[in-house]
Amino acid sequence: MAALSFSLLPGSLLRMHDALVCLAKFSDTVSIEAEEDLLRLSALNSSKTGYSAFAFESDAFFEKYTFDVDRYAERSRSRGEKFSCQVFLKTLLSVFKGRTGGKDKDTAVERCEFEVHEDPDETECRLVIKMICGLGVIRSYKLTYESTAIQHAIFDRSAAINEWSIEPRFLKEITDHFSPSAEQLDIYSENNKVIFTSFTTKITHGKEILRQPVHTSVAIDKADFEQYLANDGVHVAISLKDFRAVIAHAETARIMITALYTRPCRPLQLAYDFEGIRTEFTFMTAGEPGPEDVPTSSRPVPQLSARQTPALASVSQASNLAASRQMPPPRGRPIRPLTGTSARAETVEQSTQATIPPSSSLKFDSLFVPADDDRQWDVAGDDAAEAEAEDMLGWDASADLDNPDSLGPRLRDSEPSFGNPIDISHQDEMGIPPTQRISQLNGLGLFD
Amino acid sequence: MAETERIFIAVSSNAHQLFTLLNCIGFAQNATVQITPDGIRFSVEEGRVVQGLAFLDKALFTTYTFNLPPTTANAEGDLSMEDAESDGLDYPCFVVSLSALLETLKIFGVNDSPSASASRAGSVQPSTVSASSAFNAPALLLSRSCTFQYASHGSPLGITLAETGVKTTCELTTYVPDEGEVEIPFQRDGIIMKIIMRSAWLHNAITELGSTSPSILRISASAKEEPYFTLSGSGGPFSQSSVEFSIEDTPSNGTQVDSHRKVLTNDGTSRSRATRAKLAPTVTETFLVSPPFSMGPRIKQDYRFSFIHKASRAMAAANKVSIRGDRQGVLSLQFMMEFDRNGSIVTSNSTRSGKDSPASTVSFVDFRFVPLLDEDELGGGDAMLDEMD
Amino acid sequence: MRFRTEVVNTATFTKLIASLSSLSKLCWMRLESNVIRFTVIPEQGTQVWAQLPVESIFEETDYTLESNTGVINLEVPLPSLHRALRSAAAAKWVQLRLTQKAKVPLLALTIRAKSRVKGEAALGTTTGTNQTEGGGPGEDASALGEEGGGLLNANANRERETFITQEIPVKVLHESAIEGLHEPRCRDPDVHIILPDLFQLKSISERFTKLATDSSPKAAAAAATASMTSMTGQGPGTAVSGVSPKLELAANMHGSLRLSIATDALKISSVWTDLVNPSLDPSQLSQTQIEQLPSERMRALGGDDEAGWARVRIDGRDWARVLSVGRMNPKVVACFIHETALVLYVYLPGSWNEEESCLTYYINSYLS
Repeated sequence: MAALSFSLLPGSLLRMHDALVCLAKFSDTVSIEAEEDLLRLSALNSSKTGYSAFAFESDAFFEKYTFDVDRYAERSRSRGEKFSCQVFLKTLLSVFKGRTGGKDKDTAVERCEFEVHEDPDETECRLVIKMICGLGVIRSYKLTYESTAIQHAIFDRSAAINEWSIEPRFLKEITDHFSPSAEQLDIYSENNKVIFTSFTTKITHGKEILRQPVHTSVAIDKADFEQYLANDGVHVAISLKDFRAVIAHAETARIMITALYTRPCRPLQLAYDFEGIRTEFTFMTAGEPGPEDVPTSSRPVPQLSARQTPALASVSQASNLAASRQMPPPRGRPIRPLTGTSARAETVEQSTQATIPPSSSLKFDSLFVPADDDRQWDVAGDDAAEAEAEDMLGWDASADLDNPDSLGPRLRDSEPSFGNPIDISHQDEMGIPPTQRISQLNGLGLFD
Repeated sequence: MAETERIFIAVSSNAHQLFTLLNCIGFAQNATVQITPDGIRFSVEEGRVVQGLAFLDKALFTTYTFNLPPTTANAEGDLSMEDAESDGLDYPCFVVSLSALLETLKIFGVNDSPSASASRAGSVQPSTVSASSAFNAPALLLSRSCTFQYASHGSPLGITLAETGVKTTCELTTYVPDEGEVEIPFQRDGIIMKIIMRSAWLHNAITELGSTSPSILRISASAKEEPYFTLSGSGGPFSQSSVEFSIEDTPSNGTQVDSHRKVLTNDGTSRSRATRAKLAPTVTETFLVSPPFSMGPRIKQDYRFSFIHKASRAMAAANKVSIRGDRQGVLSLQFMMEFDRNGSIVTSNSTRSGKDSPASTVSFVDFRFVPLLDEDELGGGDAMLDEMD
Repeated sequence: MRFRTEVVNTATFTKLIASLSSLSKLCWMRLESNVIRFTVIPEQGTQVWAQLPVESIFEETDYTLESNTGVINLEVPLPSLHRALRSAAAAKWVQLRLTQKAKVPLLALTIRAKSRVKGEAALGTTTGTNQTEGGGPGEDASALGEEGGGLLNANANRERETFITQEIPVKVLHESAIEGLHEPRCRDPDVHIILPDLFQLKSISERFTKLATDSSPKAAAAAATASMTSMTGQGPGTAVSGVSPKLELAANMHGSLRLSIATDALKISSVWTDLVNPSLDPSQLSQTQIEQLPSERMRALGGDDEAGWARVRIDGRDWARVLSVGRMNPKVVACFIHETALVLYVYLPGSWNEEESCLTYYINSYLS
């Protein structure tokens, strides 16, 4: 019996293919989650600094969408009221790319049918994908999948104080100027210009200096943005590769990209919605945290409840958490790129930067938990957690269907006790600030 | 060397055509060449389980001169032409590097694309010295010629490509063919399956299946029950996949399709498919499946996917394919290549003595494959395949 | 030490750097008051000595060069410079200058690009809806940012301006570091001939190289061993895995050029005819001097006399990289010094008579 089935017409099939192509730039596997009113494809990169998700609305995107929540919950009580699994992207892409047989219109795909066969009595669960093509040609694929709990990045949009929107083609134009080997991208604004600067964190010595990548900075007018509502002088840095991946996808959709963020070392989200698809890309940023961030370590941190562990249902997830104890602190080091900016801003820029030591070992913090610090987490005070939690990123292991600020309804956790919607403040408690220090864990009881 | 001494000389004005045909069997490094009065036969094989054959019909050449090798004539005494023709073994036969031959033919036309780049360069910077590249004009393409020649036994196979301003001569070393080389036997009187369809459909299917990297290809065909014709791949690392050629718009008919269709046929609807006695997928032109009684109503045969994939260049280039299987499971793929009738081909035909049929624009490339008989050979792929049916 | 100029001929500059970059990753760039010299000396393969008048790529009136010696010598990473120059393709204004950041000398390329924005109604509309849906902070903020809204409306059809800065790390070379470098000197050539269309020559050469690599594994293995010692060098030329077959290039004084290669499986050659053997400038040499030149002795031999051909054996892959200079659409005079060397004089378009903009390629002949 199919637990989930949906069908796609060629236009939607193309959109789903585009989404898979984009997700493949972040991870080898894609998480597929089905809920009553949406299907979500998401991917989290291996360093957990980048999370991308596409939510396809059941009524707007699909020709037909059937997900029997009640029966599903009944049949597999232990798993909660949703379906989730992981599939190798390469496999899924090989299935979906077939539609590009452009020159043979006669046998082009006319409809795609996707079914999940999950039977608790059977060991093997399968996705069955059928491409119904012209002239009676039917291509079918059976894929095995791995049932697993899915991690989401939490991003509170309402807390983002910086926001801009721009057509992807302008961003494409900008990133085209950067060397393919450039690693990171710093974004900030100054007066009427927005400056994008590539930089690299590799150390280079002596003769090697000539092998350094070209440092590139591109300045465009704020007027090129649909809206630019970010504070001048706030530097955020993200991976250029991630940025390019989003731009490339947004270009296929020809849709305006919106960026939301608070400050460096906090997550940045790029998002856009179109044709029944809601996208969100959440990246950890590097940068100079700024004065408001300095007291982070002394600040109360949301409590990391021991009850959160059940959210990490699978063994592999649990081991992730274990690894998370070696996460780094928030970026105290200045990581402003060393390159100059526009010709106009040049002199100022140069003098400032000369004083800044190169940040050679810069790493992005993980979205979920920082990655390489042995400082202990501080004890968190409950009250101040509210303020701190605004832009934090954490696992959304709970079902947060009612949170109006999240991009889309969240998944239910496999633990029935987490199945009920919870309020935002509770959700905040569940989150782990991305820049959390191990030191903050001290006295928490969980990792003592 | 005087004309009369040469065993063979042929001139073509369309090297691209020859290249297209030979490229179909370009999966092997070397090819066995046999020159006959009717054309040149190129055959390749791998592991005695795949065989490819391309025949360059004399009609593809503007001139084609074949003189019986004098050495043969001397050895055999007074040999009449008829005797020689009846025994193909007497025709010159040798092995050459097929990859080198293909690479050489590609030299033709290397100059086709530069006109664009030259003019681009010119537009950026007006040039005073561009005269040397003026010979890119399309009109000059007609003055190209490609000559094949084989002087005497043991001499190299010569290929001369002439274009305006430059002439390229290639001498391919000829080797004595391996004596033990035998054709994969195809039992023409034991054909149990014959399916003709557009080659592109087969190419698409194999490409689709190939994207999931299967190790086994199964061909499954039945004239009596659905699915009528299915290609499925299994044994790959990721998933199972299949391409089914069904009757268009059948899904709604469900299981009662058999009787329903037969009624239609009896009613005498004028569709070509209906006039056929059997049910056939929409894409097939000919769909004849008659398995021996021992096999039941369905033919199922496995082949190594990587071998079938060697024919994919031919699948892509050909117009139609005839898929045939014999009782032993040997698979024959016969590709019909059709070159368009416009342009130089037609011109060259008309200048020749008119004895040749206009069908000279059609050529054939053949492949044969030995089936996988022992399923255990590739591990337990069989159980999965059964589920696919 | 100061260097600053406006780049006026970006296309030529980019193509020149691209051509040099195919031979080596590093280049010695010598800035003088009237000329700029580019020299490429890979550890293995073809040397290039190029000289261009300042005005052929830079703005003469905006050319600042200050240094104790009157020249500035730089070691420049060619791929980086090439990469950076690509940003300048559609630029209105390009400036190149020497600067320094954190004690690293840099060649900074500042580019001002302009483009016209075409209003994209469909996109705008969709986004508008989106923004409303997306709600929250966006709306509040746009209410505040009144000027932002004004700019938004102006987006429809206006001129965009983009500033791009590309900073290429370079090394400043002391005079002592380069005093030992001298341009090679060769004897008078046996044959000089104007090469045919470089694209065609390059395509055929590459196919020959491929033929030799594919069809002759034994020869390939032997050649690999022979050239193993050269694998350590820098530049793309030496990074090639395995073998590089040797092509034989020959020409005579009767307008013919022959390219050939032979392996176990085949012998192949292409012959160009009706090419030009340029005459030497009579103003530089007396009639008697000209008559005594080796090339005149070669000319005296008949067109079908094999002795009238001068031959060199060259590395197939290196040769293809040399021919990448064809992108500049130059006139190339090839000077053959029989079984010794091949010298190419590459004249950029427009410079034929002045002979000021000339790239000289020195290619050694391999022993057969």
